[in-house]
Amino acid sequence: MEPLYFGPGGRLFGLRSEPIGPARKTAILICHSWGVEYMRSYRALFLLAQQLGARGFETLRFDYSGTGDAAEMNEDATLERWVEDIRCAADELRALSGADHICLLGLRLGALLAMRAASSGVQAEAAALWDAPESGRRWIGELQELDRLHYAHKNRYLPPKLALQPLPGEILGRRWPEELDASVSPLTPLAPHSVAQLFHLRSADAIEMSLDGEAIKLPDPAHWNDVTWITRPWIPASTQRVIADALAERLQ
Amino acid sequence: MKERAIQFGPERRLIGILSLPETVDPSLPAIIVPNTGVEHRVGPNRLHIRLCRAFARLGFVSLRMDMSGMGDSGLPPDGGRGDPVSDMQAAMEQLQRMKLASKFIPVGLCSGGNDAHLLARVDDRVVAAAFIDHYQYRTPRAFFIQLAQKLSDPRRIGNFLRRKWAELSGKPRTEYDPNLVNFFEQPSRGQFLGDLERFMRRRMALFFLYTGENQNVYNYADQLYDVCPRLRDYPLQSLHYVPRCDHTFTHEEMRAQLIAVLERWLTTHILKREDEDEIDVVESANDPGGDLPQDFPAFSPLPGKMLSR
Repeated sequence: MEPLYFGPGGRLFGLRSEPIGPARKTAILICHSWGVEYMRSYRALFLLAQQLGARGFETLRFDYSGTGDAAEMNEDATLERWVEDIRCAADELRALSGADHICLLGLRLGALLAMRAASSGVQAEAAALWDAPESGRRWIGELQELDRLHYAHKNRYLPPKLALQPLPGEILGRRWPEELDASVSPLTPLAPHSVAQLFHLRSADAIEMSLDGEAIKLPDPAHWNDVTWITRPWIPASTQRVIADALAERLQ
Repeated sequence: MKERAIQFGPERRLIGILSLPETVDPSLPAIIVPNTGVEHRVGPNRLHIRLCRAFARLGFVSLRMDMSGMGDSGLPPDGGRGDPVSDMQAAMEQLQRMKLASKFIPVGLCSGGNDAHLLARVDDRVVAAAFIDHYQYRTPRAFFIQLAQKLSDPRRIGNFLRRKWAELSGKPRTEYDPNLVNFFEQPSRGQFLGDLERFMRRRMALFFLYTGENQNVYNYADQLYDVCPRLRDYPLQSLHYVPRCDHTFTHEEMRAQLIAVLERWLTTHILKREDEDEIDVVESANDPGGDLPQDFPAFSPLPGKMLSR
């Protein structure tokens, strides 16, 4: 694994995992989700990158502007900036790996952003959309409900004078400005025709959706909408194995 | 301010991000921020990034790191879970090799506070430490404050009755309790007091901050002084109670408040002190003496819950 800074002025941070043994023709760009989902799944995606490396895939994980280890502290990111970040990361991965093909592997919001990037001209021959919400609006609504429940439950253990209130423009402690809300809401997991291979990775508790592409059922529930899981890591090894095996079978 | 990712330790399996000031002064201690709970090195709501960038503005080198098996750090090849003290010592050795510092200040929240405490206990390169929501011990006053809070709040009486009714009905407890995840076990009160005594004998600068989240255990400003009265008169300590902050500093203003008090502490107890005299070790931290001095207060045997975050 190699940490690296890339993009204009080195403003983006990523972790490259090289394949063990001969490299495949496809390299995989892992697109995180955001906020509490990003934190919960961070370790799982580190482990998934290792599993993919063991099957010959080079991978790159990276943090969008204003999130994680990205240089920018201003969290008022824009959709355009995040799409541009995916473009930079895809270019970086292609240059580092020398791979012929790129597969965008996006988790939750990352799946929506990946498809937006592909529609905006980011060249990707394949995409694996992991628990993609049916729309950006629905994903935001689910997080806002978690936010409400989290504060309500937390306050049950506090005297009224110390009760915490959700702040407008924030979701579970992260800035979520109105402009971002408006631009993310219309996003959908629809893939452009340029994406030749499309897979939908669905956790055991994900809602059924009829979408183009091949559905791959995962063995574990993800609990994305369960407030009791927001402080827990999500590291189902069996899910990682299924994803890595499925992509190894289907991608060059 | 510059940032740089480094891999270090055995097999280079640990990872951290260095924040470097414009000009590095290797005579200053470097700050090490271990990850908190299961959240990787960025910290809850990117708190650790904000902290380290603020430390760099003050002139300190800092490293926020993932402990073994967390974030992007690997586990030991022997299949073990890793050891926080060894992980942080590997970080210290790396910074020494890079000639960035030879003295250190661990700054830790929650489980990170536990890691900082364990490191300070055994390594005399640690000249100061900041503990945020780490070990908490109930006192008689805390017990009565909590009782009064419960009795004066009809909502909590209702919660209590509902819980009791559910228990009597044999229903499993399913409600969400944000305190239920265990990340560390705190030492006995005697061990904690012994550690503080040794820290004070080593003239370590000590920073303690408690949020209002664990009202059932820590709920008034001077509580730590009641647990350890000798601390009150120790000139190199700084104790803060911020009841309007929660454990993960959810709101921006909470994070800003924490950064401001830590900056003040570092300026007063490290930067100004560095000007006055060299911080040195007056007694080995490896002093095994577990016996408490005779004049330590007796442990008050109130029924207390283990800190469970």
